[in-house]
Amino acid sequence: MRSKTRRATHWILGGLAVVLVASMGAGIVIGPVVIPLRPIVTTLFGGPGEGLTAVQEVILWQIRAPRVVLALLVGAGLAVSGAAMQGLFRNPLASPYILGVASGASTGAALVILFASSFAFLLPVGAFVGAAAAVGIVYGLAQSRNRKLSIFTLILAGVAVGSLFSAITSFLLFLSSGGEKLSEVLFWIMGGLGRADWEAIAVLLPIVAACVAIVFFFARDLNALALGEETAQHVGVRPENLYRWLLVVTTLLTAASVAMAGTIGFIGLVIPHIMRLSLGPDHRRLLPASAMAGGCFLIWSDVVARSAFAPAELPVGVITAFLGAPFFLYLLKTKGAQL
Amino acid sequence: MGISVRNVSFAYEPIHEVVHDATLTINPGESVALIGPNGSGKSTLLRLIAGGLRPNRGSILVDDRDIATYGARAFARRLAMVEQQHAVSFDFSVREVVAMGRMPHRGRFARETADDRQAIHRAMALAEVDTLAKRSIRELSGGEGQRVFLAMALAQEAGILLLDEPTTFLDLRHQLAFLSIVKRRITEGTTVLLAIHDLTLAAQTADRIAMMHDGAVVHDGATTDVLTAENVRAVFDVTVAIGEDSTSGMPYVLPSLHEAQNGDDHSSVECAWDVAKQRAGQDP
Repeated sequence: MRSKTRRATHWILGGLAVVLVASMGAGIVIGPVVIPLRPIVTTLFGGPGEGLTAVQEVILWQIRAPRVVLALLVGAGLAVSGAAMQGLFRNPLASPYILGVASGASTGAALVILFASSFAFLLPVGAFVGAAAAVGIVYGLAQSRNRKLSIFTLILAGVAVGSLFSAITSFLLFLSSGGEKLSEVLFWIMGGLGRADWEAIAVLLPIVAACVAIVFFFARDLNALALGEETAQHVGVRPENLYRWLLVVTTLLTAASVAMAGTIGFIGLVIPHIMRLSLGPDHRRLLPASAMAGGCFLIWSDVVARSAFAPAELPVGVITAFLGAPFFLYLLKTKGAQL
Repeated sequence: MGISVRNVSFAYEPIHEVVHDATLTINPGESVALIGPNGSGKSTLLRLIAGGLRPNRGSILVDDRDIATYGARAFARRLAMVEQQHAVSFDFSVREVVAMGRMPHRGRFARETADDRQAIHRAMALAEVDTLAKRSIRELSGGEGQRVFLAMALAQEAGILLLDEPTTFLDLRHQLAFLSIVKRRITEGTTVLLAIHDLTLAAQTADRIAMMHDGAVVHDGATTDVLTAENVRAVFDVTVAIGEDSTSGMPYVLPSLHEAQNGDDHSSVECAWDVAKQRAGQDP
């Protein structure tokens, strides 16, 4: 399991890429309304037979396709962010939400839903601002006198600030005195891709692409950091640099993903672990593998979420936990020592 | 060339200086053992030389250049360091860890070159960890683990090697295994600065001894000049006898548990260290 040969690694990465492309296709085709393949092929590439009907075209390109792309971006973003956080904090329990991003975003989203529901476009903005506020407070608290960031304080402050924001959200829900808005907030917190459209993707795509690229850039440095801050320094890595860049970038990546899709759990924690177990801990392979696997996982979770109880839609966070948790427990049981 | 520490002072907290006006010069190819009690500033001085800490006063030169003027990777090509212990957070293989020693030599996205592979192979053979290549670094014993990190430092192919009490948590056999590898590097011309608690092993490993006390280098010179019972008593506040092995001629340090308890009465050991001192004076 440990030191995979280069060839085996390439096969796994290549396999993931193929599965990802296939999943995107499947995610577009499968749903409450099943759209047969032949008309799609006919419409795309020409050929014999009937093309898609107008209704089918709308479902494909305006509803399903953006949804699948959003699932890919959010899944990849959360998984890469989780892998980077685990590397940065040198802690397998780290997740993208460790610094309070999820709680902050939930509070922001709750505020918008409860008090400004007529401005739907504000929802991602509110969530993003909430996330940024929570993490900003955490950074501020963890900054010591000599301007050095203490990782330990950072984690503790993240837990505390996260709890505080969760309490604020609960209080807001209490004030709302039940009803439709309450369930809307709860649904948002559980995460979902129902708000996917091409505009959301136009905003999210550049952010995710840039952030993921920056995280990849630091892959080798994350490897060295796993040996300890001091040792990393002895081979020419500057840990302060790494922290400064990656904390900001992973926070941005997480906050942007959460703003568009709510606080989808488990992907950021579990996907990096599964990839580490199958490819080894080298971040140069782990990060791209996590991105692809995270995307795949969320695409399929969303397929289940919108098909299982159609026409009703399950919050996708429920599915990610339902699928992710047992698999993770199985890994823990069989290979726990390696985590 | 080598290392030159000039009147360096450093404080973690504003009031208390851990390193105070320390001066130390190590010429290329020389090996120096840095000894001194806990809190005397050995580790901090090493950290200052390795660039992890910035001196508040004074300057540190490595190969005739102020260390502040080096880029991180260029510096890592000149100076490698092994810490006292290592906590690795993921299951990297031994080979992967040693390969990280090559990071200063190639670009961020560059692949391993033939040179890299050769250096890794050589370092693993030298540190006697080649048989462990595929094992996870986290399942090794303390002694094996430290040798892996020595191999990583050797793969850096730096002219200067700093070692911060690398054998502290090892049993005697692994201490000797580790230090004999260091000793071989010294014979082959690597400049070595080794902080170490065991005075006898310090004397056996290095050409020269520097003794630290309250943040300053208080004695620095040939092993027999520095490692005297008076110096050890003044700096460590313990009573020892220093002898010489009749066959190898190596000095050894014999601590006295009895004397440590009785404080003032040193008479019984007094003559032993007088003998040792005389001998030290006679054949330098």
